[in-house]
Amino acid sequence: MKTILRPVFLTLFLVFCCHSTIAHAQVQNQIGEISLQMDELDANVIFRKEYNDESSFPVKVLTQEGSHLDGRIEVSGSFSRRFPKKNLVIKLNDGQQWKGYSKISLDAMATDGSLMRKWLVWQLIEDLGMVGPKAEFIRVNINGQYRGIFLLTEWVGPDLFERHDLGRNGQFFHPDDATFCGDFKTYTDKPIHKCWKKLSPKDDNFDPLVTLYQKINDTPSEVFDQFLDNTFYTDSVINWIVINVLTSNGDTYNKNYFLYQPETTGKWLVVPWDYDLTFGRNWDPYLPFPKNILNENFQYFYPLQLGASNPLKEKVLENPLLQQRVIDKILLLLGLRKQNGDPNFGWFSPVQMKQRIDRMAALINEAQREDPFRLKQSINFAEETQSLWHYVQRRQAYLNEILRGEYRWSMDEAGMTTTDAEREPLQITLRVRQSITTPGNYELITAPAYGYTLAGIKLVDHHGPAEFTTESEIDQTPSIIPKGHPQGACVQRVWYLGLMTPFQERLIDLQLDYIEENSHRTEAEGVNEQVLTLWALDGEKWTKLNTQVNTASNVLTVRNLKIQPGTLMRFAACEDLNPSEGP
Amino acid sequence: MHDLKRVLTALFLFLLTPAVSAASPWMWSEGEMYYSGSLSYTTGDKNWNENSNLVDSSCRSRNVNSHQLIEYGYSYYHTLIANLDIVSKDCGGDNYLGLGDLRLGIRGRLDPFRNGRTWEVTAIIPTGYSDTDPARPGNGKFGIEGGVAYLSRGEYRDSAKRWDYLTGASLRFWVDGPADQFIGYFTLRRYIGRHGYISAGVNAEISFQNEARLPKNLSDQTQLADFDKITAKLNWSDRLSDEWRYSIGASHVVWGRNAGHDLKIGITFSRHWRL
Repeated sequence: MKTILRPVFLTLFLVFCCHSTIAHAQVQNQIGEISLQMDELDANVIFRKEYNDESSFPVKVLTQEGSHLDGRIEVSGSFSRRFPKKNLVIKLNDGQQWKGYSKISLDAMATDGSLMRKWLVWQLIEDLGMVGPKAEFIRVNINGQYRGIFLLTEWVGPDLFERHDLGRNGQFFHPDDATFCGDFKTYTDKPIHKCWKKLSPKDDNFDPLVTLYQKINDTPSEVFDQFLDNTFYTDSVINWIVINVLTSNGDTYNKNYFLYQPETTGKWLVVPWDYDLTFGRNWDPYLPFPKNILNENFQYFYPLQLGASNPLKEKVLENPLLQQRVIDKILLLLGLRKQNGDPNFGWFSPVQMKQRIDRMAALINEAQREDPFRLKQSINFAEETQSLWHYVQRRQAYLNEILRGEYRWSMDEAGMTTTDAEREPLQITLRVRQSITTPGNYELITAPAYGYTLAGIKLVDHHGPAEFTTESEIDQTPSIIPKGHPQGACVQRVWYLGLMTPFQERLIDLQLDYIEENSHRTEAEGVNEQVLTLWALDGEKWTKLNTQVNTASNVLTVRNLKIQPGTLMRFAACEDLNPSEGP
Repeated sequence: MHDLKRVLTALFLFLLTPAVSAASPWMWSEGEMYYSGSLSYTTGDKNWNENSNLVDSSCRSRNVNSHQLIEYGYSYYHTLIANLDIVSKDCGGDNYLGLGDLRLGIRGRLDPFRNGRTWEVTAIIPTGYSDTDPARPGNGKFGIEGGVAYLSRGEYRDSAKRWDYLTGASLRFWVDGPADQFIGYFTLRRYIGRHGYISAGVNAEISFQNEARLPKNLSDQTQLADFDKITAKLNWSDRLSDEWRYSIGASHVVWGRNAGHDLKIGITFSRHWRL
């Protein structure tokens, strides 16, 4: 009964989400432009020079009034420097500003086919009232030639802190992202100045940070809530962890964030940073660089403590009060638990996120299509943006399962989930029976305790609620596959779907997932995912289905599928050997 | 047996630090600094005469050289170079202690889009020592040198490639004096571990014998107005810290004309940092 009721409640929440408007971010409604003048050779060199070079070049920023601002332009970033489309920073000469910025940071988003991961996070950060950079999409022209769409991102530095009334002369640190040890752990053998860069004031005094390290490590988890209130801007830590959980950002806790301690309060502030490897992107420990970072993996099923170990994160999650604050904020943003008219309710729900993604995709589509760097890469923008939404759907369902399901997530001292230890190993066959109540939106059917998505169903007709049963045989080479297909050309998963509501045929849109978590845990090994097609076996014969494959999110979608009551349809996904033959 | 030992010694010492002053293939980013300080000891008691026959010298040369080099990434396109030797030379009764030539140069890119292909022009400025002293540290004349260099890989920290090579060639012209010269080198490197490498190679210094107005045949001197020599070299280098490296090496002149049959050992410490 409980299993059946839970999805109903989830659905009610989803319905509520659907009718709420997108939260209050002042969303960009047109794409701006920045026009630069450079020596022609410099303009080519800056994109083609070797990634380790840190030279700058003279540049003029043309203003609307017809004058220009002088400065120097250079490539910024770390890993992203290796891509043809570079992050650029323009440092204007003293006293000059463009749009209020003395440093113009142009994020190339070269590692993000959707272009939207960072923008979405900066929007969320702004709506949560956090200290973070303003960001907007912008077209960059150099010497009159369009050079691509960039994300104009406010420079994280004294100007930003001053904008938030935090002064500009506080202690300001950033982990050195080459050493992976900006994580408050005291058992590293590296000296602190190897793990952190002091950005301002320009001195070698790391004492404030050393003291902070000591306090974080000396304070027991049980009283960490008091410590946090006394030492940090608590919301900046809570929200940072919440955003990392929602977006599955494991790439932050030892290298990608800023710490600022204003002179006036002496409290530390966390400023989140770098969200390109999020929304399902996954580190692959089995592949060499750079494939270990950039790959086709996709995951949404890592628990709250995901990412590198960091005592600040872990003690927040171990402290009951702080943990509850994190969970409450996650549920609020996912639209799963309302809180006193908080305008951010449902901000990260699939419905609101889809609206947000679709709207921005439409706005930037032309600029990204004409982007000369993206033209060379044959990026499927529609697929990439859709994968963001697929991720949000699945992340919401997963977090709902582990935070509100039968087997609740909890944190032990080692930082692992107790549920992992307590529950049974993942079954080969996952079986769920669930009612789908609302037409027009996908509802996901997830494996109890694990939160894996087995199927997404959208009722296309309007014949009222329907009950379905879903099964997945995971990590299994299908024993029966459509004739003529070698087994190696099929996804190693079998799906079953049955309509339990009697009497009436139903029309549905169906999403079926397969797993490609890393190169060792994949159900699509050796399969050309681009040409995958779903086949349905109705008991007698296989029928080829018109399938949309999202290779980024590993979701197969079939629209307007008729399903008869009382039958159990079996699905296999195999490479389409005869694509010219329609379904 | 004696010859075998010599051959083995020559092979073992298949030489040194790039002591030949030819173009380097590396450009620094704007604002990058590179310092290299090396100390070397050179000795020999034979020389190749004007017919390239190996003959005994009248004395054993014992030279200590401190080579100071600094390079600065002035811009993406230009690296500035300055280097100076402090020299102690001794052979028989002839000796010298003082500054060698000062060299000021500029290096640029042959390929504007990548590193490892460079041109270089260097001015050679004598520092006031006698140009007739048999133990002088150089020619005592102004000179200018221009060359090109190539590194077989330009990708910094490209750990996938464990081998590379660098090569360079320059022409050196002297004002009012010694024969003009061709200087070239080839060095093969094998990377070992994360930051270490072993390198081996050859340097060549060949005179054009074109109207050299200084004496051409001063036996017993290691540095002559008109000479040829081929030097083999062997070197090991590794990182000491993020900024510092060391290298140790040896070189041996394996063939020459009007040149000392010298053996050289040296150690170099270098630092690379951003201003």
